Amino acid sequence: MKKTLLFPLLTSIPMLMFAGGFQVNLQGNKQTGMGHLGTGLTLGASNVYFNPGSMGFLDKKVSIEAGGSFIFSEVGFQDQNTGITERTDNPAGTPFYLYGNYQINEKLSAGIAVYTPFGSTVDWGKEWSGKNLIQDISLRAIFIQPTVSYKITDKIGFGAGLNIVSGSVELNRAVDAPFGDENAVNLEGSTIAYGFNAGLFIQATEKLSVGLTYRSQVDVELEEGDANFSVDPRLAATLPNTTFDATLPLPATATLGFGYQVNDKWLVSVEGSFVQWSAYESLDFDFANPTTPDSKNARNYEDAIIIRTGVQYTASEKLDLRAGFYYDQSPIQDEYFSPETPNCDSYGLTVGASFNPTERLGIDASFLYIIGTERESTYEPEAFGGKYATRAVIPGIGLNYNF
Amino acid sequence: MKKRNLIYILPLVFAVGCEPEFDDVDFNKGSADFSKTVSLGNSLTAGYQSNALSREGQENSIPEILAKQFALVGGGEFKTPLLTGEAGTRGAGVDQGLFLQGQLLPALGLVSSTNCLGVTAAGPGLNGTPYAVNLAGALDPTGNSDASGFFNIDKTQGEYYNNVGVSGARLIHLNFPGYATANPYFGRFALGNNQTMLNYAMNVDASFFTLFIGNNDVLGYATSGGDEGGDAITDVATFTALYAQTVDSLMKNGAKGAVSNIPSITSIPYFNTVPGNIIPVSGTDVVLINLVYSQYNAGLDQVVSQNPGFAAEAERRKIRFIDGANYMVIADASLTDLTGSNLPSIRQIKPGELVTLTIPQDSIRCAGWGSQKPVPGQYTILSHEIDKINAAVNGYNSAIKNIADAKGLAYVDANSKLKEVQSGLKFNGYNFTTEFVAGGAFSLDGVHPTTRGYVIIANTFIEAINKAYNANIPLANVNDYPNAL
Repeated sequence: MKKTLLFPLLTSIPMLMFAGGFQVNLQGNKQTGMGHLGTGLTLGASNVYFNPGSMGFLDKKVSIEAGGSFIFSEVGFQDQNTGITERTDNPAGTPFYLYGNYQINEKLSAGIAVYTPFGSTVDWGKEWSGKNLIQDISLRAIFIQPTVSYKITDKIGFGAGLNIVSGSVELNRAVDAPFGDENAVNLEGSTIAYGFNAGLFIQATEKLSVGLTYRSQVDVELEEGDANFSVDPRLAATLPNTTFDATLPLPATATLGFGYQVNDKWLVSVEGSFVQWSAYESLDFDFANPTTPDSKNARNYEDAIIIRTGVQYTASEKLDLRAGFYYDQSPIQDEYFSPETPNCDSYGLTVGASFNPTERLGIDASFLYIIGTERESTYEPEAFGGKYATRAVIPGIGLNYNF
Repeated sequence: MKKRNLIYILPLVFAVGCEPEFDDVDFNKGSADFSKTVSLGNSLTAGYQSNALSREGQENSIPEILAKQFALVGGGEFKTPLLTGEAGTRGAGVDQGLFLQGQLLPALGLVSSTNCLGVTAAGPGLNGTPYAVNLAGALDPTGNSDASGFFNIDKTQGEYYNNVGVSGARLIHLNFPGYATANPYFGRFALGNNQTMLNYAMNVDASFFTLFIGNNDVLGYATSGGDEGGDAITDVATFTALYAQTVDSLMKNGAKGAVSNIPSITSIPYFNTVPGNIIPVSGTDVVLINLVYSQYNAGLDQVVSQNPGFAAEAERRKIRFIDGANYMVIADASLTDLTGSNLPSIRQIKPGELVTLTIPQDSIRCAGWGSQKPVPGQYTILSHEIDKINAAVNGYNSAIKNIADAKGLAYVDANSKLKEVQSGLKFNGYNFTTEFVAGGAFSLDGVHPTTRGYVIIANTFIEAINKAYNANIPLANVNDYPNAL
């Protein structure tokens, strides 16, 4: 397929859910090191993602950044009635990013960003007790964002980019039928969708900067995805292989961030995001074959917030050290908690560092530890629930080159 | 080289470090003692499914499911007199006539058949042909004479089994000497012809018992079509007295226990699969068939003209066909006998009245049953019969509840659970209904549950036991049990 030609290798490695819903906030190792905030800061080419409005405020004419992270995570489930404890066996996720920014003149900048802000891979195994809800899922979304930015004044910049999104979903789940122990369906589909990312950046004083961004909702509308059933032969006539339509919304996010350069050494920042998860009302698979019952899965997500704070300490010309903390609210109500996206309110603790061996080259590293709070929730439409807990550790590394 | 090794090891370190942990759930037996249990009952205790007792059914019976869960809170060994050989694998169904000729019926399976209209479809049918059972095996205590695996129990050591579930047993049979000779399902493991089921259960000397009995005291009447079947309903007063005596006997040595009420007979798929309005008529046929019955209707009017008090019944008996789906014409022996006026005791079945699963559907399709010929009474239960059935079930259930409450026993409300299934029960990601075959809860005989249906009932037992004895016994996981028909 055309859309995977760009990064055939990278796209073959699934990403892993760990942020609110299936959002993956790992779009720059510098930012991740300080709690993944950057809306109100000018940290490098990654501004093309974090705030297109600040692209003209970078020091260098050309900025390039690339990097990625490794997500090692696990979700545990404990059924309070049967006492059974089960765990996911998730493959490591590898979100990545690639940014380029070019200041055409004093006012105008152009840039491109490639990044993966949504994704999820959860693998509970074929035989676990929630298999009728989900066995495994792999959700991928790669955003390609050509962007322009304009400095309205010395202190105010505005930028916007078009998001070209390559989205794909593959999931397996068991089919609840009156006979047969291995009835299952594989659903797979991919599509291209569009959205935008806009940002405003204000250098209010020499020390204080403010950023405001809005990333639009992107509806991944899967049409004629493949639904392959493997069922008891006596069910094969009712459940033949068919195609499906489904829509998965990637929610809009609005972020307001502040940066404050205390002195030469210390930079502090706070920001808050509002993620419009309420757009995710249900995940419905509409099958083309008339005898295949459509699968309606209520989600009823609620809007959620993320609060971040972080600091950067410039130890020397060659070394920056960072630390941060964030709180990430789960958008999932207790009655609609599905093991397909087992997402608890979580706390992220981050540290990071950049080492700049030359004036042009920097190496950025970050480390994120996520503690999901334990929660006891049920997916009431299927009466399946228990206690869930999540943990993740995410080391990341990247390079930046500026001239 | 060293660095590369590190790259492989690091992820492992992280992977181990991020494993979320839970506190263990505190499961306990409360004030009950499951070191030795006995389960007394009928086919629902034996694990009967799809018109037969099979090894898989026995291994997934309610008492076996319970024993696995009891074992997690200190429960002891539990033994069922398991079938072996052909009886075990194909299932052993006892049809009185065939059995006396030395034949056992295999369990029902989903088999393909072609009906009188030439349409081929899968439906419940005998899974192969009947097979031989050696009746002499009933008299051989070594269990070696019968090759079928039915009379396979070695009784020479006097060993007692914990599962005293006997298909067909009524409450009135529990204390009936000689029942072992009347019912081969008991005869195959009873220690002596005169041992009663109750005596057998008491000899197990259990610390905990389950009692699930009474269904057959009304079910036989219902499945054989009510009054026409010649199968009487045990009257509620007799039932109440016998039930109290049975419970007293089981509690004699201080045992605790759980008793289950009786699920509503009229909710099972056996009575709710074939609809009453199954007769499609259209076009000129409507005129013709109404012409046929016009004489009958006129005859009823004539009776009313002589006896105005008959008007209500006459109205109920009048037969009218419309363009579309029509309620079948049935024989109803409870109607006023008008054979003297040359009027048969027939009418159309009414909404709410039930048709049995066993009605020969080809006779409806091709032999005029329900339209030109009345459906015989053995295939229907009518409103007056339904009233009798419901009165019995309600009477039994209030007796069982009163006795359970008075004795401090766990009261299992299987009746409410069936109602939940009727309106669609979701459990652990599974969806159960009372729909025949597709609902997943009932086996192919339309009366007995599937394995997963039995898991639901077993969990209802556990919930009741937990409540009564302040225990926390883990529920059985539906997912651990086979999904077979």
